[in-house]
Parts: sequence; structure tokens; C-alpha cells
Amino acid sequence: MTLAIETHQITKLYGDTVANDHIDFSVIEGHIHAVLGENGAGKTTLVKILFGEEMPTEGEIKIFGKTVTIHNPAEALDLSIGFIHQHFTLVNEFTIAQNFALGIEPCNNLFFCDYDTVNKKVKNILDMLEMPLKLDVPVGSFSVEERQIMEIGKALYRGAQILILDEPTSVLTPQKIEKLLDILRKLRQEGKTIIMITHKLEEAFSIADEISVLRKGVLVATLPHDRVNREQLIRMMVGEEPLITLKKEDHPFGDALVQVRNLCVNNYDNRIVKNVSFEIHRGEIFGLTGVGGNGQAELVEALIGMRPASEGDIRFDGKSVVHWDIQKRRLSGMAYVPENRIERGAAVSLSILDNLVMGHHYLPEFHQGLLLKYKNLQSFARDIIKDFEVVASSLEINAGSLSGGNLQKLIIGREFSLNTPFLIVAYPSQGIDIRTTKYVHSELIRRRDTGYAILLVSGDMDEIFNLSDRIGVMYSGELVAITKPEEINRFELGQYMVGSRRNC
Amino acid sequence: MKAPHIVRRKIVQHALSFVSAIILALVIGLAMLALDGFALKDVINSAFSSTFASSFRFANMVSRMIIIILVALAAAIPFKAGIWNIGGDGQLAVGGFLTALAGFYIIGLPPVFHVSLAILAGMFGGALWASISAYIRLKFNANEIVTTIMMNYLAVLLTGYLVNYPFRAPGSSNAETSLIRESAMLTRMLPLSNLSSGMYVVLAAFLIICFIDWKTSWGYEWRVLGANDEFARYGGVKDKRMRFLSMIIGGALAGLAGAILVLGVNHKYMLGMGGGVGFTGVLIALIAANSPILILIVSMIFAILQSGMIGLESKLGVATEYSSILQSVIILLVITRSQAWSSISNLLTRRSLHGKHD
Ligand SMILES: Nc1ncnc2c1ncn2[C@@H]1O[C@H](COP(=O)(O)OP(=O)(O)OP(=O)(O)O)[C@@H](O)[C@H]1O
Ligand SMILES: [Mg+2]
Repeated sequence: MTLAIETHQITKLYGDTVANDHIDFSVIEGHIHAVLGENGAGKTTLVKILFGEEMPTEGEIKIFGKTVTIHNPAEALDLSIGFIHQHFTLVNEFTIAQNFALGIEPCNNLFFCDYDTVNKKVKNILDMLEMPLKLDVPVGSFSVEERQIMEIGKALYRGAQILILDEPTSVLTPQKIEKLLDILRKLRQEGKTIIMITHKLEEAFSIADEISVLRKGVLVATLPHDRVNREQLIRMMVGEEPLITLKKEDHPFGDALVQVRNLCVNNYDNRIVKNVSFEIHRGEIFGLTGVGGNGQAELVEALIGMRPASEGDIRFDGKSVVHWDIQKRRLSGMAYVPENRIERGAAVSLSILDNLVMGHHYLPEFHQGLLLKYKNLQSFARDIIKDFEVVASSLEINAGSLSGGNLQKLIIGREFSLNTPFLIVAYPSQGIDIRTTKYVHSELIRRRDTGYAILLVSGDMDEIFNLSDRIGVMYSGELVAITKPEEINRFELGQYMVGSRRNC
Repeated sequence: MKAPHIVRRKIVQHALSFVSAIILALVIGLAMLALDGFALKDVINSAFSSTFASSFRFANMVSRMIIIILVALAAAIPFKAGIWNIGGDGQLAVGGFLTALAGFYIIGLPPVFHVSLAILAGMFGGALWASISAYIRLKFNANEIVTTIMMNYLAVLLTGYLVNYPFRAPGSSNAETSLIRESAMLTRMLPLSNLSSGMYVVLAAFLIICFIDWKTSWGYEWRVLGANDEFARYGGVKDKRMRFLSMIIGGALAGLAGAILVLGVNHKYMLGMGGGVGFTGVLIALIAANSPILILIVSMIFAILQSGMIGLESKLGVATEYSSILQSVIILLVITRSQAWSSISNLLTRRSLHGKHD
């Protein structure tokens, strides 16, 4: 049994923050190793150090038994380490081959590169990953899960023996997660070593040989998957504090706050949302689900005003809002937690304060004419940070230096604290840990109980079943079913999602 | 909450790297001159003679600086909001021309009103000229880098025609308007110098811009638009309106520069009076990362350099191109400094780590 990776007393400081605290972490060659831990525990930091994106403040790394210093990702690649980021890194305009060979193109001279050989190699890799994809179209035209697997392909192309994946499943739907896990198992058979960060315990149990838990920068334990159970893992992650249990009771709904009638949305000439009608009542959580890319995203964009409706009507509180701009809709009582936090939900190069101010800065308590009341904004921002437990050393640091989950908490905190009667919440538990997920869910239910209308978009079955009062399913741009969680089972929901069944 | 250490350290690091980049550029510039056979003493002496040696020289240098500050802000405000304004020169020309008309054709006003009106005319002209490019960009999505540059040429051609034919000063052999009225002239701070009471107007404009940038929702929304426009839109920021506004304000600032050149320096509009300063403004806005305070500092440095080069040229016969070379070196060093700085500090920390292991 050889060790692919062995770290000795790795410590990483960011200013006063101890992101990694004397970590001795080892990974057995040919195994899959899952890394768990709460938001901000230091998981991403640890793997960034292994990939040379960050230098450890202290400590030593051995790769396949050899002590090394990894200054940058190129050196990590030379040591056959590949990293699949929490976010995508492919160039959307390039083809697969251009992406895979980016920077290492086999070129005879300045002008002619031999993409035929690249394509051959790419094809082999895609075959192995069981992804028969077109080679001559830009990467941007592929789906999220295809691009996720392409990121793996790219690492393999570059000769990676050790693959590190940072929360690869957080953007995938359950079916696609299964597929990804199968691919990882296959890679293990081929002798690759895999490290996977995740917040989902089931995934760790179903795939990992060993499981490591980080907490507040410290490695709590590394255990074989069959020597630990769910409860023990949770305790290692969150400490002795018991998790909140959700309580959702039936209650009568109020009037229909949001009414969508025959809504159609186009993307150029493609009709992406087709004739959708539904309403959401005060006091109701309407769960919208479906396989990714079936029009949910565009429907939400039309509701908040980021995309024009081509036909149909949206009524909010009795008034037609289809021609209103985003600001007017927000001010009349809508808030929105978006599905992609880095592109849409935040400006990562700006401070936490600037990120929290957005949307609130229209409100009378925070401005006087053009003048922003920064004092009030600051104390309000501190409240959000506290209430939503965003781990951040100050309001002035860049939002980009927050851990993925903490950024998500910031966004949720900002939108929830607008206290609007209508909340659109897309994939809220993406990248947040178990405890925070429970907190966000309980907040959603609390808001429902006080009479808010909530549109919950999610691909997570547990989330949809536990929170929704009614469930809507989208398939190929149509709302093919509206039902209640107690009236269907998961199998039936799955049938709606793949379009083999409908009820409206 | 405790004071943010990281932030303070970052600011210090920023400033330090900035200053060292500029010092390094000066050293390189001096070395080039030395290699060219100039004695260091002469170089410093003659640079000094055209900058700080007399209050007259100093006043001219400051007058150069305030114009640079205005055109740099004219570029920086739109940059902040994520839209390019390379059109400072055209906006300055149109603003200057309108100012000259207002200064000549309006008669019988008391000086305060006449000057104010003429300045407003200049700012209006600059804003109008900028608004055309902004409109084309925001309505038809035509690249504003291209359109603002095109509008520079158009401004030269248009005002060139106007001052050559309909508005040419009677009897003048140059392309220039008639002298403005006495009541529209800004008082000179020093007889014969270029520095006029317009400097107070620039000071006020600078402070107002700082205020807008730091304290108002405009400054906030511009910042967000520049950092991530999808996030801004998502948050309800009216992206087009705010970008249009930033462009108009930028244009007005460039127009103000034209107005001050007319009312305080030349007392008429002359074709080409800006001398391409708008482009210097773009470079400074880039170097200073759109921060008003850094713009102030860099403009000062550029004004000293440009004025100093005049002394080198007249006293030592150094080619004027040296000034451009030196400015380019500064730009290169400042722009690459963050990379250089982080590798240097990486090296240092690595060394200290290794020291620990030994
Ligand atoms: N560039 C940075 N500058 C300052 N602090 C940082 C930086 N990157 C990470 N941190 C801090 O280090 C800690 C660990 O962050 P890390 O990203 O490793 O967490 P994580 O375990 O991956 O969390 P998540 O599950 O939320 O992704 C956090 O407190 C984070 O705020
Ligand atoms: Mg992370």
C-alpha cells in the first residue's frame, strides 16, 4: 500500500484566519478519498495547496513518497496532479480539443498546430468516460454535467494520476450525480487516485474508501468508510451541537400573490418556456423541479425581470408586472437567490459590504437622496453576517476570499433580509453544509408560516419533498405536472421529470 | 469588529509597490540619459529649472496638472462603470469650442455669470459629445472604444471647419476663434502664467467626484457595474442609465478641461489646443485603477515629468520623445507591478520558511 499524497503539519494562514491548522493528511494510491467538513473548514484551501494554487505557510508535502514544493499549478501537473475546481474553468468559445490542449498545443511552428492528434487523444478519453460528444462545437453549447465531466477529461488529458474534485456534485441533478460517481469508480479501477470534497454524506459512503473530516482548519479524523456511520460523521463535522429538526405543519394558504398565465419565454427563436401557468399563494412554498435545462432557469429569469416574456402575463399582488424592470419588481416585493452565485449572486472582486448592500440601497433607511448612509449599512451588514453565520474576518475583505458556502450564506442572508412577501430561491443548499442547510430550510419554513409566498427551485429530491406545499415539474419548457408531495412518490416524480408522464 | 488588518496591509502594499515602480522608472530614465552621455547634474538642474525653479514655472506646471486631472477623471468615471471613454480629446475640443462661442457672443453679463455660463457651455459640449458614443453603444451595442475614437476625429474635423470658416477670427491667419470678452476671462493667479482661478473650479470638481465615488449610490452602482454587470443587473441597477450617466459626467469633465484652456489660458479656441492630453488621461486612469486619489498623485507625477522634459529639451537638447518613453516605462512598471510584487514577496516568504527548516 503506497501513499499517493502525504502531508506533514500543513498550516495555512490568511492574515489572522487559520484556514489549515497542522494537517497530516494522507491518501492511499488507487483509492477514492472523500473530504467532508462545514463551510469554511478549510477543505478548498487544503486541496489548493496540493495543486500549487496556494503556498502553505508551513509544512511539507510528499507526492508518491517524494518530498516536493509545489509553487504553481503547472508544477502540480508535472507531478501528475489534476484539479477540478468548484467552478468551471473551460473556455466556452473553444472546442473540447482546444480546451484540453490549451497552453500545451502540439505545434510545429507558430501557426500550425496538430489538432488531429489532439482530437484522437480526446476521443479516447471521452470514450473511456462514456461521453460521445461532438468535437467540433464550442464547449459553451454543452450542458452543465457534460462540462463537469469535460473538466475531468481535461485533467486526464494532461496526464493526471491524482484527481482532486472540489464539490463536483453540487451543481448536478441526482441522476447525473450517479453517472459522475460511476465514472469516478471506473477511474479508480484504472488506477487513479481520487480526492473528492463533498457536503453530501451519502456520496461519501457510496463511493469513498476513506473519509476525512475537517473542522475549523483541523483534520479531525481519517477513517475507512466501513468503520464509521452517519451520526459519527455529523458529530465530527459540527461538534456536539444537535441539529435543528424541521417542523412543517399544514396551514391554510392566503390569496394567490403570484399568478403566471400562459407564460412563454424565448431565447432568440427558441421557445424555452412554453405556455406555463401556475400561481403561488401567500403562505405557500411552491417547489419547482425538473432535470436541469428544461426551462426552470428561464422561467425564474422572466419572473424577476432579467429576461423578457414573449407571451403571457405575470401578475404580482394583482398587478401585471411583465413590463416592469427588475428594480421595480424588487421594490414591489420580490427577492431572488440565484443559482449561480459567482456570476450573478455576487461581485467577488468587491468587499463583503458592497455585496451585502445591493438591493438594500434603494430602501429609505439606507439613503437620503443620492447619499448612502454607510453607517446604517455597516451595522445592517454586520447583523446579516452574524445571523447567517458568515465566517469572515471583516466587512472590507473581498467576497471572493469567502469559502464557497460562506458566499452562498451571504447571498441568502442578503435576499432573505429584504423581507419581501415573495422569495425566489434557486438551489439554495448548493455548496452549504448540513447545519446551514437545516438553518436555511427552517428559515424558509418560518417565512412560509408568516405568510410569504416562496418559489423554491431545486433538483434535490429531499429538499423538494420536505419543504414544498405543492410541487411543479418542468420538462422541455412545459409545466407537465403540479402535485402535492403526499400524493406522489419519488418514482412517479422521476417519471414526470423525464417526460414519460404528465398531469396538466 | 476589529480593524481589518488584511485590508490595511493590502493598502500599504499597494502604495509601496506603486511608489517603488515609479522610482524604478525614474532610475531607468536617468540611466538612459546617462548612457546617452548627459551628465546627471545637468539633467537634474535643467529639469528643476522648468518645474520648481520659479513661481512662474511652478504655476505653469500646476496648470498642466489640473487639465490632466480632469481628463483622467473623464476616462476613469466611465471605466469604473465598465464602459470605455477614449474620447476625452474630442469632448475637450467640442467643450472648448462652445466655451469660446459663449465667451464671445454673450455680451453685457457681469463676470461671475459670464464665466459660469461659459464653463457650463463647455461642460455641456463635452457631455453632448460623449453622450453620442454612449447612446450608440447602449442602444445599438456598437463598441464604444471605436466610436469614442471616431468621435475624436469628428470633433477635430468639425471644429476645424468651424474655426476655419464661419467662426474664424477676422483677420487671423490661424484656425482660431476671436478672443473672448474680458468678462469671460478667468483671472490669472500669476501674471502671464497659464494658471488661472480655474484651478478652484477643478478643485471643486475633484472633490465632488470623490464625494460621488465614495458616498453616493451612483458611485456604488458604478463600482458594481464595473466589477460584475450581471450582478448589478440582477440587483436591479439600471445598467444602461447608469452607464450613460457615467459617460455624460466623464464628457462634462473633459469639456470642463476645454473650458479652462479657453477661459484661463488661450482666451480663444484654437484647433489642436488640447495636444492629445485626453489620451494621457486614459493612461493615467488605467494606472491609477480609477481611484481619484491615485489619479491626483499620478497626474502630479506626469505634470512634473512633462514640464521637466521641456527644460531638458530647451537646455540640453534632449529629444522630446524621452518624455513619452519615460511615461511608457512608468505605465509598464505600474501595470506589471502586482505580479512582480507578489513574486518578490513569495520569494521572501519562501526564503524565511527555508530559514526555519535549516
Ligand atoms: N484568499 C483568501 N483570503 C482570505 N481568507 C481566505 C481566502 N481563502 C479562504 N479564506 C478563508 O479560509 C477559511 C477556509 O476556507 P476554504 O475555502 O478552505 O473553506 P471550505 O472548507 O472549502 O468551505 P466551503 O465548504 O464553504 O467551500 C475560510 O474562513 C475562508 O474565509
Ligand atoms: Mg470550498
